Amino acid sequence: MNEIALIGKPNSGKSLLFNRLTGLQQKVANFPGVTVDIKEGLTEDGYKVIDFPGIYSLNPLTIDEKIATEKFLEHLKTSPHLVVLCILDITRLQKSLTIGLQVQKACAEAGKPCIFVVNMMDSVKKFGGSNLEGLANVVGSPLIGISSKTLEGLGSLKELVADAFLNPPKYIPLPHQQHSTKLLNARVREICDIYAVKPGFILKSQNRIDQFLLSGILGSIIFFLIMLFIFQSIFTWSTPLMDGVEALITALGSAVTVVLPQGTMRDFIEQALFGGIGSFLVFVPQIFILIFIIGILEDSGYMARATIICHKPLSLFGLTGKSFVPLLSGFACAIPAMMAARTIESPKKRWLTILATPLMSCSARLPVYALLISAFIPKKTLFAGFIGLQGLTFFAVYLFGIIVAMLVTAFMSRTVYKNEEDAPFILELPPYRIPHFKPLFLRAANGAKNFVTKAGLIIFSVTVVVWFLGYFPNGSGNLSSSWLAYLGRAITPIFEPLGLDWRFGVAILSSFLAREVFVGTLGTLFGIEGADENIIGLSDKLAATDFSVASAIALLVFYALALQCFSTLAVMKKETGSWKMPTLVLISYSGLAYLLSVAAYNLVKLF
Amino acid sequence: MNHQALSLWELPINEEALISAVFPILNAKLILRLEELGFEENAPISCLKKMPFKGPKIFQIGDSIFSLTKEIASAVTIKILNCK
Repeated sequence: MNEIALIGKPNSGKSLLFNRLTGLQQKVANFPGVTVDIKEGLTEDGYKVIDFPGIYSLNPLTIDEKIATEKFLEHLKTSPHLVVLCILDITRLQKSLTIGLQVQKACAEAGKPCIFVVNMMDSVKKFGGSNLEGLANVVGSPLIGISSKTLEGLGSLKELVADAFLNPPKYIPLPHQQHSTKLLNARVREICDIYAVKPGFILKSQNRIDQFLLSGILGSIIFFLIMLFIFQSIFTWSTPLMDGVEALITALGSAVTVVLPQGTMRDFIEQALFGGIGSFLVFVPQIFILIFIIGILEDSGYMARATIICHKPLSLFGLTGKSFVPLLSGFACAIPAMMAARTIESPKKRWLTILATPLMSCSARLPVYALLISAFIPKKTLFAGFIGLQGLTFFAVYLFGIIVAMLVTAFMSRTVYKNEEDAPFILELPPYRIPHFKPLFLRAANGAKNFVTKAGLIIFSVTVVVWFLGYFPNGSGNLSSSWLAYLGRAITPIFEPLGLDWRFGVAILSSFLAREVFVGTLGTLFGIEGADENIIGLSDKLAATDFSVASAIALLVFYALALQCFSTLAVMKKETGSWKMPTLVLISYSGLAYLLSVAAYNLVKLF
Repeated sequence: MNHQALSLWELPINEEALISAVFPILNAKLILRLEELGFEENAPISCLKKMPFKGPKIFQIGDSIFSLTKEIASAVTIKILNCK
């Protein structure tokens, strides 16, 4: 099959060109543990297009760049019918040509046709355009000017590619002499002195916008508003969609099972099968929305600015400016948040961000906090009625999670990850551009699909196992006499130091499905129907038992830290490429949560 | 012409300078990358902005704008050209 490889520096408009060439026919190849996405698609002429990640050089600096470079060079050697399109950004010709000439040399060595595609020609029109003929003569390879934004030159590019497949030798570069970086840079500078658009023109408007977006007070306000927008979108605006997915799955389950006779098979299909599918499909809207918004921030050029704004404070805890968005998203749900960490190039900082994310109090913990706080924290006010004690407790639990997360990353970055290879902070500030929504939509859809195919099966399997434990041996769904209850009773000694009985053991075990299940399970065990919607009824019942304030505080501490969500573990495995990190995190966070909650219980009991 | 030698981190905002060298205190791969990005001897560079609390600074080199942390910018020496 005839193949086209797209390669170039980041932000050269390569992905937009890929989308222009392939339309909707594309798939993404991921590599475990790294952020490298190699996209493949088909053109209407039947050519296979491979979009390699943007790189500054064929001399890789990070593990992600190493994989991307190796995959490109491997393809260059092994693909029998390949034309390389090396994308040059005319507004950043100097940096584009550095990688461009390296790619040209690699093509010469592999005997593969190479065409320089000079993108963003629309941006330089107002500055008098560029002498592409002269540039083509100097670089010594066929060269064509296009704008993937306005589609200008795309037809000629397709003709050129077709010709390159018919007459490959015409397009194979002449062998290069071995260039040192200094000689390469000198040649690039020499070419750019004549053919590049003067940077002053291009960068003027960018610098003007940066004066606002990176200024101390105004920049911080804009940053705050944008982050508020992200938080709202994943916390509040995705809720109706998530409820819609849940309702749809439930309705489908009911529609299918209504024709079945009462019994185990019907319960299994309705509760385990459809419940299991719903347990991971419910996250899809949130993942889609977050990836879409992050895409807008990246493609518009703002993400790089946001990274710079938060880099310094987060670097004190071993993180990077790019950790901010995943951490913020973690307050809604750790699953899309960990997927958002793929924007972090440094593997070390990506691991640390993934490590910190589950400690941000996600929305699933809200019902647990609400139940315990409304049952056991008095409705007192402080500071002349301005601050309520219950609200303050809510705030304290959230803050507690953040502090522990920062301490964990600070500790890990200085111990376990101390010698881990790190990507240095050299960040190019891309020009501001209006994002194109079709590629963003496809990227978000791919991210959601990736989650469903990689993590969905694990989440589904665990849901089914927990259903079995809660349903049998009676087969009646009577939770208090199920295997789950038996296990809950068996682990009672573990929770006795927190003043909790077997019912809390069962509720904690069942909350491994999702933390909010804790409330529903306790409701069943305390005889409150529909406790999810009737938290007050359950909290009144709890307040009337001998369950103490000390136990409530201990449980708050436990839920703030313990990693009891299998969906989070499944996504962590997907993002890190192995079960090592999820297993260690599960053990260490659960251990830490237990120890600190025992300490909190005993401390509160003193007063 | 008076040359004042400083590290890139010390370059005042809106001043232009020429890069003198990249110290080998950074690892070889990083030095190579900086060179490929244009951070090489005699390349003109200017500082556009600094962030609060010693956060990353923003530099223009050639046709691109880069943000560098203190750790990296301190390893690059420059000479400020004061024409008198």
